[in-house]
Amino acid sequence: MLTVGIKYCGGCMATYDRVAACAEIRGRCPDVRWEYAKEGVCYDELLLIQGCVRRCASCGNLIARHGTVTVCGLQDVPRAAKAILQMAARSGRPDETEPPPQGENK
Amino acid sequence: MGLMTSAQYIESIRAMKRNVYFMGKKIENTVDHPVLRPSMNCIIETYEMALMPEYEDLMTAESHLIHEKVNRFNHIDMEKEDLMKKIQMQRLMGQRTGMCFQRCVTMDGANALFCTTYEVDQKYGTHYHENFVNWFKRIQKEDLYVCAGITDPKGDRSKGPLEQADPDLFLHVVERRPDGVVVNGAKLHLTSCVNAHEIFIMPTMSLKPGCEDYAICAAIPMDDPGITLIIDHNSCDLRKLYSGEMDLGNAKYGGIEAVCVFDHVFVPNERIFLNGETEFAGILVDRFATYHRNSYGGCKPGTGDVLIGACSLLSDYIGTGKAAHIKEKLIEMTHLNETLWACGVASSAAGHQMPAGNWMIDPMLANICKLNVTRFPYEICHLAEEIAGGLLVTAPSQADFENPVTGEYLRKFLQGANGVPAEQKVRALRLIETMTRGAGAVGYLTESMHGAGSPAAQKINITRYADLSTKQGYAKRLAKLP
Repeated sequence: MLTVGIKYCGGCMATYDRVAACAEIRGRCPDVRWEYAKEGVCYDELLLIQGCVRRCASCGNLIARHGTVTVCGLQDVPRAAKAILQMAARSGRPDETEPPPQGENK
Repeated sequence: MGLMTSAQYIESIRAMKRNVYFMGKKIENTVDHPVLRPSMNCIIETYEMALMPEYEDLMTAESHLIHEKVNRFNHIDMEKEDLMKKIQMQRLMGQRTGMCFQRCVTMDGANALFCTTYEVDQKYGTHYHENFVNWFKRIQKEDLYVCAGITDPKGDRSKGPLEQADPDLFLHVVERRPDGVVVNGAKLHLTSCVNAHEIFIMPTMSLKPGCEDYAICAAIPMDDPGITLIIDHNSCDLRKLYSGEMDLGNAKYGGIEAVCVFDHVFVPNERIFLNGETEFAGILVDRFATYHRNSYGGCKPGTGDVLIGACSLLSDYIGTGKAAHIKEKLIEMTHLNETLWACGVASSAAGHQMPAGNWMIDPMLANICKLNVTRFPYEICHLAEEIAGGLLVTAPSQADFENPVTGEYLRKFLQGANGVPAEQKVRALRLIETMTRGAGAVGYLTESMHGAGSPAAQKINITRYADLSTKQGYAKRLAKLP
């Protein structure tokens, strides 16, 4: 099962309800294991919930095999959910042996 | 030990036995006191938010001292990014509480102490930095809240410490022992001291040789039997005792300050961070002031966000939201508020690294920031009162809304536009009232004026950092002057 680490920005100038957006994405991706991202743990994917275009969530020490999905507003929710669903569908296939470079943004 | 939950924090304060007085009575239980509890709720919020994933990025940081996650209010700024995250956190807290949330002095004082004790040790071969680091590691590990005692009573303001009729008008060392010192005196305006586990004391001003006993900086547990806290009686505070929740405007959060008396309090050597080195007294307090003046560029914009939001909401409730003059006022309020934020951001962005390794706020821009903070909230409040109208100060109480006779009249005659109920309109008004002239105004206005130094203090520093001779050089070059 795909494991996704969730990282929020600090929310000082959030232009939308970040918690609701994250809940929406999680609701659209039921067959995924979700955790709040911790340093030292390798996730399949990272979901960055950025409150605004400044994108200042600190994620340099977080590790993801297949890259990062970033949300900066509610308009990004469908795209983010789709990207995670596609990765979940591909995960476990025999040809998925080489992950793309860490930090690749979708 | 890690981050405390709010429940753990509350019980840790409840377990402390302190000498606390309010309105002439000794208070045994400050945790559940209706006037004092709102202040504690601000501190509780800092503990709760540190454990919430959606705020963790701002509310916590990795400590370079204990290599664990700590509350950012207990963090030494070892990365330049920390200076920005500091004020982002403060803006967030201002938005959440709508007032001074009282925990900033810990990080501002700790950062000033970290770099200054390092330099004192470099010059004099003392061990203050080691003392401070060892003490602060425990503060971080146990996630304690430390308040600050800076301002001395000062007595005759035209005279220095040695010339006062009563030497205790500036806190000082009265006895020196092999294992520590005894201090006597008082500190004023202690923010949220009843909610703190410890206090650090430092001189309030530069000191000359001869004033060695006054050049004392140390950390003291808040439940030392020699400490007495006399809580302030400030604007509308007693409304919390007799008014309804609606009448308070911001019922959950509040602030308190206190006179803190140190009656022959013993401080062991390991808790001393400066002891007699007068040349560093002014440096230490100046650095604390620099960090703290930057903090106002975060907290006051956050509080201002709430006030602007309340005014915008009220104008919608009463049908003036589309009026040009209301929009103009909201724009001006936003302009002033964001200018404060811009100053805070600038003073963080222009920071530099200290020899000790931590990052320091730019002092000129921090003073510019704070000088603006002494003015702009007053203008923002002026505009808020214009928007609010006279009902801001003439609204009946919650009790009158609940009375079956008067309630019916009030719901009919105070109703808003488009079916907005009267109570909703009055709630918005009460929030504006507390922030502009009530309990909230203590933090938003007078504390903006005097906290971290009064306007005169900022002007002195602006003069210091203005570097007029360099600017004269620019003018001479262009005007071809000698």
